[in-house]
Amino acid sequence: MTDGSVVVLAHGLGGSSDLPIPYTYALIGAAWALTFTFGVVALAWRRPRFDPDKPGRALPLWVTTAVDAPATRWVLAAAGLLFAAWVAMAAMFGTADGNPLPGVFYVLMWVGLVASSLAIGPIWRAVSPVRTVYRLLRLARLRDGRGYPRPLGYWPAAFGLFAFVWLELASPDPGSLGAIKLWLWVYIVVTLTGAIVCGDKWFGRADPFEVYSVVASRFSPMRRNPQSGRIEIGNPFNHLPTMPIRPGTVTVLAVLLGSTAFDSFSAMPVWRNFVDRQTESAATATMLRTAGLLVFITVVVVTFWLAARATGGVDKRTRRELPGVMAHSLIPIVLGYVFAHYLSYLIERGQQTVIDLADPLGHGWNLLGLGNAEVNYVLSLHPSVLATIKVCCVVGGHVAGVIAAHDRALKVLPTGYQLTGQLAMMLVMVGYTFTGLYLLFGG
Amino acid sequence: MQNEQKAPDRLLIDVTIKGGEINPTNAQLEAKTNEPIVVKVDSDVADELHVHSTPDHTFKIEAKPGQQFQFSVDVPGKVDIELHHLEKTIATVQVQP
Repeated sequence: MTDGSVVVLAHGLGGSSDLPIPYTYALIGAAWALTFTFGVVALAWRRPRFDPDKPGRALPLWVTTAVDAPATRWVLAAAGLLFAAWVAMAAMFGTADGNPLPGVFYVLMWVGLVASSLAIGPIWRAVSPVRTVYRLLRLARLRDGRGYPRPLGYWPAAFGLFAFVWLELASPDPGSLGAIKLWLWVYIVVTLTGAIVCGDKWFGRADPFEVYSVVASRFSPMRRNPQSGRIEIGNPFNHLPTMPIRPGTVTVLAVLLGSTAFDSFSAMPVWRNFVDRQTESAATATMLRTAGLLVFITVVVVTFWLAARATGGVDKRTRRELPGVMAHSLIPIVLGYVFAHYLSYLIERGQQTVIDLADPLGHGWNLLGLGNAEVNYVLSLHPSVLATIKVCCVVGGHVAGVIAAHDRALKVLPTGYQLTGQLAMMLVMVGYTFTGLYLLFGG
Repeated sequence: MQNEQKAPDRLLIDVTIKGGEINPTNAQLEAKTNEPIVVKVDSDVADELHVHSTPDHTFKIEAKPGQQFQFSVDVPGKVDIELHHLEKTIATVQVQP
């Protein structure tokens, strides 16, 4: 192997993982999830309340002007490019020990991106180094004008997201710098080629990070007024239905939810013993983990697809559209589960990554005085606080998902079927949440 | 007052590696933070013991009986103890505060 020390690390980052949440926490969380769900179905409002066209509270005009100013855009793009160059330097010339690349890749680009997109909006568009390269080199002039094929939808992004979680959870050695570098090279080549062939729409629909960022940003209180484009703060539930419905939307969300669940599952001794018994070599173990990952994602796709269609009183065409129409209600569930799962990673490994970034080559540099900083393991040192936060994230995401699904059902299901038509979806969501809590509790 | 002389609690893990067979694998154990964890290894091959705590520890295993490695963990969490070349997890220790 090229990188000297190659270690099979959980998530490619090493270190310990979170303690399981106590049994009682899981039980209390499950009880609340169940109560809320049926409370919402039986007692809540009977007319749709959320509407993407409802205006929020507009922020002062200078905010929008500043955000949209070409100077701001160039500064952000340049910052993204500079950061990418800094990480690339570490990736190419740094040592395997204390290299910031795995942390940047698995923590900042995966979990950090979700947190920042949820807080302020689809940030990846503004900082994406590949977009910047495309603009700087004026690659748009190479286009032959065919445009982005509509039936492709979000499928390339779903595939890209799968490639990411595959590297993290199924590949033989997720922590190897060589593997991460290869992944990133393929990502850059595919994204640039796609954009040259299909135009810059490719970024919005096929770049896995941009699509992930857009997904997370749909539950953000920050949004643009649909008419004026002015930045405002509003009810996230009005923002949620603006998630574009394209081919592959449900699959994108299923990859995110299913892979996070598989991450918990694959740490369970039952699964590890099974993989050990069945496999002789690293290659077969990888194949088995790949199959496991695919099963989890497929289960989410199939259950959601069936549940969304399980209603009476609609014609064939409407029924076919229902999974896409309901898809946005999965977003809060995905977000809740991602934070429950990766919050300590974001906070603690995130600190370690920033410290490693201050000395990317292991030469003892001390950029911004961060090189000698110590990580504060604030969450790991307080396991009961962490467990409470996790349960709140899972149950909160579930409740938000149920509310969004209920409201959408009132809008799209015909009178007389609005209650019964929701039942399958509610049961499936309860199923996701119970599974999630069970996995966090460790079985 | 008799307990004052008592030796501190510690976790002992007995590992045998013989002809490619490892015992135990995927064991579920518990420990406290700062409590000594001792891994005793009887092995017929050289390997590396990786302890995925925060921070990580690495120990060289030689092909001989009766090797002892000791460490303690001060950040609570689930700690995997793995054989690097054989690619097997010996045990997962839940380190509670």
